[in-house]
Amino acid sequence: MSSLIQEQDRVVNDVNYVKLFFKNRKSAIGVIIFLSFVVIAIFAPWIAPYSPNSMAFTPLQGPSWKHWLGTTAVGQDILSQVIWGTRLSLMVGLITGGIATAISVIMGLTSGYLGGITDDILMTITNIFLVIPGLPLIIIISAFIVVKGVWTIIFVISLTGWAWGARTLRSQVLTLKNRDYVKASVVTGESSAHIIFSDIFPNMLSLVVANFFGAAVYAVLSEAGLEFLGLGDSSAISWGTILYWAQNNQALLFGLWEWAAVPGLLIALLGMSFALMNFAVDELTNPRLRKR
Amino acid sequence: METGQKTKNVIELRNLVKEFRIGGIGKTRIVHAVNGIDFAIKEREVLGLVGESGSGKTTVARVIVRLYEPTGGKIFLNGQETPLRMKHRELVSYRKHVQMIFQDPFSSLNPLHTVGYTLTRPLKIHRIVPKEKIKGKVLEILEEAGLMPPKQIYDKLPYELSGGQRQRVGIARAIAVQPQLILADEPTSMLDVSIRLDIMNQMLDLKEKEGVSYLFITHDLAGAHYMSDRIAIMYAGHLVEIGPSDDVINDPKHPYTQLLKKAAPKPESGLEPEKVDVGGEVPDLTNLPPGCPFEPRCPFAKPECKERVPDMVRIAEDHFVRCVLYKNAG
Amino acid sequence: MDALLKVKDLNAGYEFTNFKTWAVRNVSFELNKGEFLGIAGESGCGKSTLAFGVIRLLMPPGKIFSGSIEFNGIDLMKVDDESLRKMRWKEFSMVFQASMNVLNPVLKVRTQIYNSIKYHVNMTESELEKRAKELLNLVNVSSKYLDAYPHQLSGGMKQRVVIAMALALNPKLVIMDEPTTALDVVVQRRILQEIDELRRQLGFAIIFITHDLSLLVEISDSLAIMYAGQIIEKAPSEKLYAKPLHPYTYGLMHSFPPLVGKRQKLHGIAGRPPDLSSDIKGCPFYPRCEKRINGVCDVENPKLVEIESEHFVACHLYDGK
Repeated sequence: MSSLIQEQDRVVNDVNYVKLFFKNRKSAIGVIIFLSFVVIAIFAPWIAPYSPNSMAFTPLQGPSWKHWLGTTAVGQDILSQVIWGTRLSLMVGLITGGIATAISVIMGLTSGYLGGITDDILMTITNIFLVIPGLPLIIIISAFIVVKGVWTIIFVISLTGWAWGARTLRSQVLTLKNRDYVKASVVTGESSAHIIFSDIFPNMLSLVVANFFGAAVYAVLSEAGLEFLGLGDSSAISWGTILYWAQNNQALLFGLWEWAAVPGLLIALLGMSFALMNFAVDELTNPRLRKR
Repeated sequence: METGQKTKNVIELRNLVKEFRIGGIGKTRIVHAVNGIDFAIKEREVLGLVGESGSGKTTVARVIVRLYEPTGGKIFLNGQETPLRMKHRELVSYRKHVQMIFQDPFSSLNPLHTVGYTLTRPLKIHRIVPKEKIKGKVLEILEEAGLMPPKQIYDKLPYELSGGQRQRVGIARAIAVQPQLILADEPTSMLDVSIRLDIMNQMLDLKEKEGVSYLFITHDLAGAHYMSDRIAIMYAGHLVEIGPSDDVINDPKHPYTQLLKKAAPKPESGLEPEKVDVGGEVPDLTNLPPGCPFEPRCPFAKPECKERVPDMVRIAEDHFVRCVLYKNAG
Repeated sequence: MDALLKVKDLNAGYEFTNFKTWAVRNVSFELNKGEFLGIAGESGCGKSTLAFGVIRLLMPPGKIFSGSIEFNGIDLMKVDDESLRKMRWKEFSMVFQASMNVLNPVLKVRTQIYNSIKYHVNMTESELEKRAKELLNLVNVSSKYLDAYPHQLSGGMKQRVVIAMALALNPKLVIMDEPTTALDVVVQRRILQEIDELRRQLGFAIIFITHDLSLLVEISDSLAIMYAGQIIEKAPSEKLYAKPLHPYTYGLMHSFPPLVGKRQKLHGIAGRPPDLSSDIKGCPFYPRCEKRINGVCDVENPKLVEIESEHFVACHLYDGK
């Protein structure tokens, strides 16, 4: 049915990206949640009632009008911390997601397009990283690195989060390599670099974006996990560190469940927003998923 | 094949061989896709290469255009031998002379590139015209390829074009570098019947105007007859018959050519359908018999056919057959 | 008249979120028992939609908008899903385009033939085996392939297996949608011969859909030409071939370079078929027709009318306008 093929082509090419993310209800919700976090992060200094580090308040208070989420063991306002923590959590999530995706893209594209020994070597490296369990590796590397800070976290999570993406992207490259238009470019005389960037990469963009969202979820959760285990930078303020301190100070024992629950909930929400936004990208790649 | 001819050979193949290795460790098998092909194409000539799937015709084209590296044999471009393995610069220079039109108009154009971009690339890579003149040249080529109005088509994406238009873009892309030889790999088999002729006519017009030669690959004997000056028939990687188009079609010599002719649809020759009795399947290219590959299905097979692949025999000035039936005719 | 199938004013197409495509527009035709009807047309003419629609196999977004389909006296538009399911394969069956690729690669041939029977009729294991062997025999495939997997068969054999499956329950009508397009010319010719023989042997009617008119002319009893969702000409094959009335049919027939004879320059039909998602005013072939009558053809869509015995044409050149 040629009309169906034409409809698909039209969908893939005619797409208005803003509309795309909003048309699908799931991704619209994801976008709204994500943008809310972005707004909170940017306007944190104006939204937060107090300075997050200020230990001026009575410690271990439950929720009250002055402190909606109560106070920590050293007298900091939890709500302010949560608001300010958005910055770091969001930043780490996005940057790490970006770096991991970039590595996946480079590895996947090179390995897939060049093939041969290059492919074998790069795939062996990828497989090694795939096989080693992520969390233990993160813990071990963190334990060894002396300098603790945001960039350490970013580095460590990126290092462990790119392998899966590299494999998926490589498979896609292998498929695209066999498309006639790639062969046509070869026959025209294009260089490999040009073919990779101009023919192959743009045609897998939606997969790369989907990969990015996946990596971002992984990054957000890993960062929280690392901080929670105390392997991060405990002097920084992120949702993960809040959780760390909550656990350290036996928040639940004191009945201050919101100290732990709220950051945890936000971490989950941010991760979910990425997953939701991913639905729109799925539909870009496969128009048949669109609701009738 | 002929030296001392007035018209130069644009391309000449001598004993071209192409093998593929398939299978994993320990179970490697060799696919003998092309088994010693010889032919030459002159300037402004169309050679039709006819065969069914598994005949090797597409592989021959891909080897000539260097999408695959030949396993053996020689390829001469304008009388000069080309190395089997070429470096990038040699390849780019080669590609200015030898281009290709692909079969599937729906996958031979990058869906994200406009027609203008697709046609600009070959002009840039091969420095056909200076930068300022590129767009003008593209519009010129579009017009030559029958894509009207050129200015509108320039900005279109492939999905906005019909199959026929996309194929014309493919033709335009091939003609852009002003090549001497274009390999057309079944360029009309995926198009609607009513536009096939126009595409073929377009190709023939370009042959006259631009002086380009074609290797026209097809499984459709009638189409080959229409387009080609000479026709070559392939079976299981071997060339079994080659000669002037009219001769090969009207009086086919090789039993396989005769079978192809019988099996082809012939609505014009009355409504009594010809019965085709020949059974069997195309041979397994990883396990070719030592003799003539068509022997198992040949109604005229003799014991000697099993022993070795017959030599090409000349039965007329420009007509050759690879069959023992004619071994005394040369 | 023993008409097996009567289609009247059928309208069908595809419904998307923003627009509708009318792929089949007011199609009416009749098919007799055991008749071989070829439907020819180019891409986008609606022939596949018609094929699926006629036996109620259109899945969303495909939809039958209006019209009636009478099969052996039963109105298929009024029949409930359960009865339809019972009728499928017993009364009518289908061979899909590129069927050989539709065979399940992980199931043996035997299993797939059994399944095509079991879904519709209860049979014992031994009855199934007997029937499967009979069917393979019918299509000239050795029964040793019952236990083979699809990838072990050649293209031609796979297609024969699929045809065998379509004949499993002795249907009265088999619809074949481009069953030989992906096959080589020699295999194609043999399979067509076999299909024709089977038809004479078993007496079923065939609707054979293709874009390659040259194939059909030799083997079909009657031919219908579709353009832009409509049947624009229908006649017994020899009549259509000897005297194509509609300019499109004429153009189509002359688009085939002749196999034998001298080489001479021919030309196809310029232009492209209209977009089926919009209304078409007048005759859909008007923009491309060399014989068009301004003021008539661009205004009114000609109806399919019987001009001579059994020769139907939808063209103003013949309806006295």
